[in-house]
Amino acid sequence: MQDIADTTNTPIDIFIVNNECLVWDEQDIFKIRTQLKLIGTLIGSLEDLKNLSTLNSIPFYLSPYEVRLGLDKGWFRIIDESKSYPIPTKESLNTFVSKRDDRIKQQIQQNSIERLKKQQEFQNEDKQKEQKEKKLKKLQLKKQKQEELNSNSSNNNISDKDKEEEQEEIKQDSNDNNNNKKQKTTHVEYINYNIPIYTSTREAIENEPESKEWRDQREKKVINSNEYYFPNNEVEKIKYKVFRDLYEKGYCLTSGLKFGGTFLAYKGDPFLYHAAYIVIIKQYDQEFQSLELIKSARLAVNVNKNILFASIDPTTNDAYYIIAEWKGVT
Amino acid sequence: MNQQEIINKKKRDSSNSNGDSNSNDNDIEEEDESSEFRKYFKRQDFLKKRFEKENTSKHDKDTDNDNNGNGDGDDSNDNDDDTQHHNQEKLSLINDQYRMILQNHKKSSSKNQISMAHWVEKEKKFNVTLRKGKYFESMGHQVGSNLYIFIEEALFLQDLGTLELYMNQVPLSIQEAFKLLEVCELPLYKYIAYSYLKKMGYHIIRYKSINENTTNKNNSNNSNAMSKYLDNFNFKLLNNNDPWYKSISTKTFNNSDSSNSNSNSNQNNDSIISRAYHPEIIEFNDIRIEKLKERNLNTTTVVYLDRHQYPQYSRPIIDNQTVGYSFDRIERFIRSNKNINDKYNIIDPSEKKEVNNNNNDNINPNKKYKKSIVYLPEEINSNSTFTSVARKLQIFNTQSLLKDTRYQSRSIHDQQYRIDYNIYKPGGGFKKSNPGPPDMRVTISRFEDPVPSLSVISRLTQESGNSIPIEFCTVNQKDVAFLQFKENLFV
Repeated sequence: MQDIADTTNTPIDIFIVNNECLVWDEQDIFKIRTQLKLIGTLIGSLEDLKNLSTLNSIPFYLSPYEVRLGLDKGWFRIIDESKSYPIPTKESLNTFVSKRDDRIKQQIQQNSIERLKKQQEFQNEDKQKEQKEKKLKKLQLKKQKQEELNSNSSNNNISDKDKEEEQEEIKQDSNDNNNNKKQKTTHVEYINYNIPIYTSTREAIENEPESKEWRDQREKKVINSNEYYFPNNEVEKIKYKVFRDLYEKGYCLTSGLKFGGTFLAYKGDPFLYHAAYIVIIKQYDQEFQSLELIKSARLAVNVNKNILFASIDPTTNDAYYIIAEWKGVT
Repeated sequence: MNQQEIINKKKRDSSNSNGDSNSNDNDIEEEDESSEFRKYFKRQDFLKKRFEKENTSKHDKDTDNDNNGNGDGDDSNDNDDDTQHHNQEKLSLINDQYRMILQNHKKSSSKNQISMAHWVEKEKKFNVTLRKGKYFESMGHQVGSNLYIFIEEALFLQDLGTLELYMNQVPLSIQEAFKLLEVCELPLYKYIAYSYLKKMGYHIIRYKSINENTTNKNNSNNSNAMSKYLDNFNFKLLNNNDPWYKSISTKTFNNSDSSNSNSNSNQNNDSIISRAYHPEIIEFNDIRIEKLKERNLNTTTVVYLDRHQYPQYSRPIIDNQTVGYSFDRIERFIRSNKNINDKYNIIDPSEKKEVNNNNNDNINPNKKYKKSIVYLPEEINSNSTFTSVARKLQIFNTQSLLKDTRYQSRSIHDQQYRIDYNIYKPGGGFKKSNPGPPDMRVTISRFEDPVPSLSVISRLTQESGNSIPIEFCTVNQKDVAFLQFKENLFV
């Protein structure tokens, strides 16, 4: 809880798109997830597993409950960027393009150097292997020949010829090496480079400082916590109050769509624990039938959880909880 | 290192086989985020390296990790100091993994694989100016010589790092591109559902409304699919050549008195009021409550349905000559036996006419309902109506409940539920230019939204056509759930 106190001084910027709030900064997301214990979800794709839908990366998507809680606690500041994008001037565009070209040239050079190194290593390995194999073959041939010669009463001249052949071959090898080096130098201008796509605007500005001119020009409105739409009606208000109450009691909360509840409540970090409760929220005077009770409790016991019925007393504003624990049926 | 993995696998297997009830839990619980992390970092060898560096006792750690995977929440209650210590270490480890995943967001592609698209303000779309890779075989749409992509397609491809988006000749960051969702008025949850389906490999095309060309093609396909579907059952669909086909025809009645031009002689049938022609679902608005003063001056309240509010209904008309059996005989028989009349509450059609004439001047609902022709005996099946029985038999075309136009027109959340995308199953053979009828259609809503009413369901099914199912997709944060409603004819 001490960590949370530290963050109160500087609210984290969260960006609103169509009433939904997204966080784009790596450090901010880490802080929200690990210190504030707001679970949220990541919805961007991972660099090396782009087609995986289960594991994701930036941006970080906050539920309206989490946004409202963060606003009430003063952790967040909602920022509404303008929908119109400033048009960069011709000069700035030119400088941007030229700088980009420079960066690409640098990258090409670096790439080519690395490529050369790798090629050399690779070719050296190959060469060594080839040479070894050649030598082995020659040795075998020699042995065979010698055996044949031995059988056919030996002639010294032939063995001399063999030696000459060997020397020639070694010369050829050295020539090959020289040729390869020449070829490599011609390969340096092989053009391929990576074009980066930046996730957050801040990252884009850091990597391309020239773009700061127009990227910073976009209007940024700070939205007051009163103006945020959630909670909109009585039911949502009850839900939010329960959310806040459970959060302050130390539970981590996520969406309950998977198990037919409003929330899932975790006793600790969801990384370590499985959800303990499926939270179902009712109005304080709402009647419901025994069938619903059995349905939800039955479902909960199958996934090793308990049902937690929650509501807010409208007169005292206190939260009340009832646990339904399935004990079995005949 | 391989030995360790083998040991772990063995342990998992044994734990699964031991407790049958627990194995189910594991399957469900394995979907947690932390387990995804574990899979990911096992692949990356990140876990192992850390263990090697920091700890000498690797085996204990690994086993702990697996216990965590089995997820007995109760174990955490029996906290020893050791387990707490372990938990903290585990948490810090997982946090590090989380940070790694955050850092792994950078996207870049080589020059030869990256495409380019420029924003077109008028169309609110991106125009693809440089095409690379296979993605555009199933995405985007051609207008003249230009290839356009919608915002969700643009965001999806940008997220994969295969498309560079330009606005005012300057590349956009993903953050800037997301704001365009607001410009295009596409809610974020629809994009999430789109990208989920897309990552599962489905081909997705935005749904065009009925007025456009695609529907004509669909209709012809529908009838084919329908006949195929019926071949599997004992029902017989009559062909045009079949002599029976001419003898049985259906007549559709409108709720107003101006009936169809099919047969003038049967026009009077329109006024027949019976259970057979009650609307199958009665909405509160249809019910009239009137207080009637009778001759005795006792006021009685009568609950009745206004005839003019009836939906369209259909019933078969059987031509006596071709069938070779006179239905008059049956009628005569019924008339002669008054017991049957009373039992099944049948009235003479001639009587009915008079009733009808009287009603034109003064509406007397009381009379209407006491004397009605009921073709379906009350005791046979209290829930079925004439149309519902006919629909089950499927011998002749009848109106489906889901096709009822009146319910389609009434929608509380008209804007909320509409068909969003045509979806084609993954795999080859998909042509963007000629996709054919989709495998399913999808309508996307939020978890918080009200449940679709029957009227919404029927409107969308009607719009989609018979053979193409509609999936109701619900999105909560990143979780995406699918539901399909079917009218069950065989219960």
